[in-house]
Amino acid sequence: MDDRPISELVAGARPFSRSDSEYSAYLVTRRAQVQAQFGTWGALVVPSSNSYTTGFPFDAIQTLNSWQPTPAERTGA
Amino acid sequence: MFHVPKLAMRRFIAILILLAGWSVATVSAQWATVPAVNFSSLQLSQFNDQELEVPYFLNYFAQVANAVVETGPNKGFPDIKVNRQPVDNQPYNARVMEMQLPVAYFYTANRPWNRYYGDASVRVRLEAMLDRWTHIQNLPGSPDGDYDGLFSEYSATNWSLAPTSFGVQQAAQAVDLIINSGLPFDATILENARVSIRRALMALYTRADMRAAATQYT
Repeated sequence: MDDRPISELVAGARPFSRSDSEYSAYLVTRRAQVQAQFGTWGALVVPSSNSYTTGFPFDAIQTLNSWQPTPAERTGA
Repeated sequence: MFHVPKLAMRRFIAILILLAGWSVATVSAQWATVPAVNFSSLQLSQFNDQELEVPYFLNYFAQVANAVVETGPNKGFPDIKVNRQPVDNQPYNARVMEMQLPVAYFYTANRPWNRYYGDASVRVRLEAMLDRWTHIQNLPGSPDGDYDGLFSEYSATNWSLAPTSFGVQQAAQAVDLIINSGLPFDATILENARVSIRRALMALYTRADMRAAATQYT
């Protein structure tokens, strides 16, 4: 869920974005992956430099990530 | 048989009662433990698409939150090595304090899967973390130089761009979540955080060395 809405405003960024259809497919795949792990994660890795990162709330709370270019918009850019 | 005067015995018993009372008071002053999540009562369908990464963090949240130091000079420090290089997981490192954003998120997320919404055991830790963050910021007249508004990362005096800019980003988001939630929170800590955020932003925008570092690393 690392896509940012920058490509909505900066057309030059669109070639690097998922298209809207790719993003929809990604969400289906990702939900299936999380479902397979749901509640069965092992012990938290400690010590670690990245087993509990802090940026996930930015994605969880905002709706800005929803914009994705269509394949035509991406190709055109 | 050894004889104990009645008066001495009464004093001894009184002292025992006082000590017992002090002990109970001390125990009751401790923070309540943040409870773990029972995933058997949750379903992934309760999480929307933007929340697909949340269950993993929700799973470990109690362990992380319960690692926040409760007393002493490191009060508010999340003493668990899970998001920086272990050698850098030090109390002076403001980047470790970015952990306050997940804590604020779970305290304020009014969602059907979130048992921590408005939870008092989470609130007390979040208040301690935000309070700590404001107190590890450089202030005017620092013995190691005037780095007013900056935060440090790799040493106690490594006042620099990353811990200040990322720290502001995460602290500001945390404060925004807290304010907009309308949930109870210490008003003094919130105001101190607002002042710290402003001081940090002023340093980032006005210091030539910060602009140079930002240009170099972005």
